[in-house]
Amino acid sequence: MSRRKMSKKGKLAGLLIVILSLSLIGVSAYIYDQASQSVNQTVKEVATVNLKNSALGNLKEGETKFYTKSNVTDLGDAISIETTEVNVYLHLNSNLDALTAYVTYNIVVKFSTVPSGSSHSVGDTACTLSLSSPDYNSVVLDIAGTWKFDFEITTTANSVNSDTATAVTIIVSAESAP
Amino acid sequence: MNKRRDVLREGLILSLLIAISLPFFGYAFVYEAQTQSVAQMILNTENFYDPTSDVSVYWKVNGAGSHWGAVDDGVRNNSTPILVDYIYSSKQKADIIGFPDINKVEVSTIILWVYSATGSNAKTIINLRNDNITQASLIVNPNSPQGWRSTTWQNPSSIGTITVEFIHAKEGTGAPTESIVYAVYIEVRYTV
Repeated sequence: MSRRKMSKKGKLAGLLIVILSLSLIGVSAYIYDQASQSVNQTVKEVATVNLKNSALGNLKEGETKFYTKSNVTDLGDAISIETTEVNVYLHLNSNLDALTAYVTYNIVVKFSTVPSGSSHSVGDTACTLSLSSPDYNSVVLDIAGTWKFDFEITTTANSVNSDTATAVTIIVSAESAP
Repeated sequence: MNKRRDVLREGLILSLLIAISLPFFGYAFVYEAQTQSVAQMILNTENFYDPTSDVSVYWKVNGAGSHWGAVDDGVRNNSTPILVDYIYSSKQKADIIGFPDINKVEVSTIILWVYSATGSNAKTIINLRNDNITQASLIVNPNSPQGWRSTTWQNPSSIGTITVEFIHAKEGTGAPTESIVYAVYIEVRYTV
């Protein structure tokens, strides 16, 4: 009898502990939701991004043109970022792979302003986006401060049946993680 | 009993660890994502036109119901056209096919492209005509192999109805041989 009682007590205690564990997970899930909101607000201080849109003008089919800030002003400092922490990760995602009207479309992203103490230098290439590589992850902004980037763009148009307007869309995001 | 307690204790510790660690899963967070655009306009500088009608049908046709249908291969001068349908003649008569209207302004050049061949004493004269007036001519001499040839109408002032005329002529002695045309198109270039 005492063995049976002991067994029942043991089972009851085990059951209670399992219920307690599950309730802890439930509570922790609730805490997680609230915690992630407060984390969002904290990380929001990491960087401020400012972008410029550019209009390259006309290109004849089959023609190749090279654009820099000297002939298209808005390509200078096309991306500006203020970072408040070290090691902010800059991601660029474009729709270049969806463009069919081009033989070549290369966007070379170059550092134009770099905070002192950084491992990067003004004029260095940060990354290149192309028809076959439309995205880049990631440019490491290793020092807190002001960062700016120029675009240098080379385009060669395919044949088109009528005048064709094109637009490359680039999503620039700064993250606290790679 | 001790073993059971140990297992339960470990389960409790694991649950606590999971509960504590869950809030940290949200740290890989995108701070800010903005979008920029780079706009450009690609200007159309050339178009191709294939024949679409028969105007005069005095040559013979092989492999198609219409003369224009035998030579509208839609193939350009970097490729070999379809060789099973063609128009041909060994008699000194003219065949004329029509093209769609060229609804473009600022045309700088109209180039007539013809894929053709001639027999040993056959000569083909091919005329690019605008409103029945010849603007450019191409002569394919006797014994010419299959191939693309072209003639150009530079700086057309007023473009109306475009037609292409094929004239067979015998040059030399012997039994008449044939002029053969496999494909025809016109290339229109614009100033932009």
